[in-house]
Amino acid sequence: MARITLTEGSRQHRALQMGIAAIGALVVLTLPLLTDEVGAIETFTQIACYAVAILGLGLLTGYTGQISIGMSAFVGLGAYTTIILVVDHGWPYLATIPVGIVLCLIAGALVGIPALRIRGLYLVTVTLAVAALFPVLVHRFSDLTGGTDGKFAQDMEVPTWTPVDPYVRAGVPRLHYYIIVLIAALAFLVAWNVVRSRVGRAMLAVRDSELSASANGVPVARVKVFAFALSAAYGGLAGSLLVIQAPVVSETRFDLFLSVFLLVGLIVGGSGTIIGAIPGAIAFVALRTYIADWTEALGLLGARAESGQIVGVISGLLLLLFVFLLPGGLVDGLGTLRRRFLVVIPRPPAGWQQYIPASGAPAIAHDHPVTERPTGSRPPVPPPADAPLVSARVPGTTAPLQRTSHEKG
Amino acid sequence: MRGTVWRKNVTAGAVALLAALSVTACSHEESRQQAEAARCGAAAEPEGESTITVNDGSIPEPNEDAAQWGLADDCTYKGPGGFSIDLTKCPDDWDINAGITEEEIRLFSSMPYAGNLAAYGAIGDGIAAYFQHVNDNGGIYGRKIVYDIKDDQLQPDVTRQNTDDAIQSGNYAAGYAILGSSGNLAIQELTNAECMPQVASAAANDALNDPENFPWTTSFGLNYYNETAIWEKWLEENFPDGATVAVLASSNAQGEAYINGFTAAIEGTNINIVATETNEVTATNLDNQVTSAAARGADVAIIAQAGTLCTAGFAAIERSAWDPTVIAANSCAQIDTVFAPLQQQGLTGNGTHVVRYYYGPYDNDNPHTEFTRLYERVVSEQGLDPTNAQIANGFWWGWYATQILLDAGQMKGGLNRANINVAAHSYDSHYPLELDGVRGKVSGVEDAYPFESGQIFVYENATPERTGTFRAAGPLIDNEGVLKNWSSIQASS
Repeated sequence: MARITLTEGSRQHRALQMGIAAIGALVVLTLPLLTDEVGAIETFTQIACYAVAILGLGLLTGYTGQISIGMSAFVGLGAYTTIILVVDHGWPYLATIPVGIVLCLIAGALVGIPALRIRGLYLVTVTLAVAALFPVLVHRFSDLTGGTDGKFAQDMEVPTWTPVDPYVRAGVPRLHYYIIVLIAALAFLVAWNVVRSRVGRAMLAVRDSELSASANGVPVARVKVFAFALSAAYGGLAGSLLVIQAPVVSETRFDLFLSVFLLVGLIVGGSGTIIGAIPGAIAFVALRTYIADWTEALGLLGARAESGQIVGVISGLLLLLFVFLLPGGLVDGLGTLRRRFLVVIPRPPAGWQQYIPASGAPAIAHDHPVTERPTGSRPPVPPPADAPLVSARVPGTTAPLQRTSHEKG
Repeated sequence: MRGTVWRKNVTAGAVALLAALSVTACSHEESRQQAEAARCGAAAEPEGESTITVNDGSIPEPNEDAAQWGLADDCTYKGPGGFSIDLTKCPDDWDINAGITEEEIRLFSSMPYAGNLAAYGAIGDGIAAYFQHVNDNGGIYGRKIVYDIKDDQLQPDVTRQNTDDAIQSGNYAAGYAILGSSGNLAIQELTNAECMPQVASAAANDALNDPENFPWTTSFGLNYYNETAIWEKWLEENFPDGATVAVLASSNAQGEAYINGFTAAIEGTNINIVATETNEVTATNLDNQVTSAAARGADVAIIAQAGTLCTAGFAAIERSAWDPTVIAANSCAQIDTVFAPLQQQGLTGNGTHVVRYYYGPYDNDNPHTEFTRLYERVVSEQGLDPTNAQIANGFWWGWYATQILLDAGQMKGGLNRANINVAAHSYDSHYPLELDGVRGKVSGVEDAYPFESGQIFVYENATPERTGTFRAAGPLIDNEGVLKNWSSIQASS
């Protein structure tokens, strides 16, 4: 099949990007209007909330290489902060979010300190302890948290001046969806900017080789603690959003299972990408919400008790499948698929010509470097997203093309 | 002349406007009446005779008193004990017959079928098995009971979402035996705002029996306040000169509820708590707690625990030099899972007292072996394990659902959702495996707790090689109607 080749930054490429963004925005905006079912709208909202949590985990695990299964504790800390401030102190829901974020930033930084000296399995064990400790703390401070019985609040009040009618049954969940999606979109934007910033590149350097990063002047310790704190803050934000979605909390909502399922969501979506948090969250929520019922409906496993446990079994299988077959997750898989039809040639960094030896080949215009490739030759396959420094030889030149930015398109 | 014409025109216009308004108002009144009829079910008549085809005592009979209750006037339904619900407070699109057709009655539930507490989900299987028995033997006035359960992993937000789905589908008459205190408390506001009966919640939290504030919610089972009240009465009879008590409780909601309940029960008596030792639910032994409690030399040790922590408490006391009268929570009254493991440590658990109010089907002192055989047959036919205690519990829950539905059919206004809710606040029934004299009985606002009687049994005759048996250590203690409801408990505490 003929492949289309676009140059990064060209008008066609930008039009394609804008088109995809417009379609994405249209889907996100119209999704809750397509159904009147409260349960379905709540499911969409949960996807937005869990996407933020998975994004936070991705920043730590996918971008900085620090494996954590303690995320549930931070999601829980954010959630309990919100509900305690709302119920016991009468705060408005949205005002509690910064408090939850700050608390989680501090808690995350504290958890990050052991990561300076330990790594791998030992670090996983420390984060496991954090996840296991959280429900115990909820029990211990049951006067504050409601203990086993949980804590409950009235639904967050919604504005009445929007075009969405808050007086129909699906009205309030719809407005909650829009508010949460807006906040989640901001969180994605911040993450997008962080990973493209100096700190983001330092995180990638730490992930790929702490020794090399350190040798190149990256303050490894500070970057690690920053990544833990940032990740925890995203967890806290997700917790607050989950409480806005359904103002009920109990320790069973933030147990170790949540951490494990978030990790499954991260691997399924794509651990080294920002956008992978969305398919990851869809997979997570689908597993949690529908798999047990589908299994029962299909009569795959006789008695119901076993059909419920199938969620864990399928999560485990998914994890194995993705680790072996698609380690880059769904986003990477879709990218590979896309490259069969559409190739985006990365734009070389500005001023790259200065690195060509003085006696080298003549410079080529950077905006159409490879469009006239000989027919039938294999187009240069862009390296995987977030790959470290890689070299690609530009046809017609003898100089390597240094690439440091993420692949576009 | 021109003025007269003008006046005539104004008068004619006003009359025409009034007529138009009257017609509009009449049409609005008509639609209001139609909407009200849909909500209030004015046209329906009570059902006739029960269509149950067996009379072996395995399915309850409708309560004769039920005919007095139900539709009172317009949109008000009344039951005994000052119970009343006003359907005009229900949502505009509320349907009194949702989930009820000539062929079936649909109930829903939300239970954990995955996660840590998935084992409790077997209660739903037990309930469904009992409903199959009812359906196979005539059904509820010819209708089959359909029981749909959704998994919630015991997470209250999922319970809420499942309940939202069930309400909005318009396919369900009521929620039955929704499991877990947190999930039930999370949906209480919702079910009451939506007039969705939340019947016989499978949660021991005392706050779920609050018909004054939440008339569409009822709970089930012997709750903590009633169990501790039975302990207190037994202690008063057996320690007439007073007693000192050490309480060993888990630091969770259950432990807290036992402590609060017992503290309230002994108020004004000469029974005194001299030590309260708490432990984490993740504890592996209670040796430190028992050592601390033993130092106070209390006459009585109360083990307010569940599962393996009961065993740990019994073991620590039996190994110590302390020799108190041991009273354990009802959740410890399991020979196979709680007492038998003591044998591996060379211990017995002899002398432990527990409150019981129904027999397990396979308890060695259960005299109702015929019902046990029926239970075993019905449950086995469904491919379920009859020895699973939660399935046996579910069978018991199924009996009371059947009682409620049969009673609702006898009420004024017939079998509808409002009457199901009234029946959930007015049943009086005896399940075959309950101890003689124990009845599940509620009466509106005056008596919201279904089980308030129980008998203290003592475990004995065990050796390190052989499990023991329970022997009655006193008569049945009946506190029927003493506690009223959650609002009255709060007011008195």
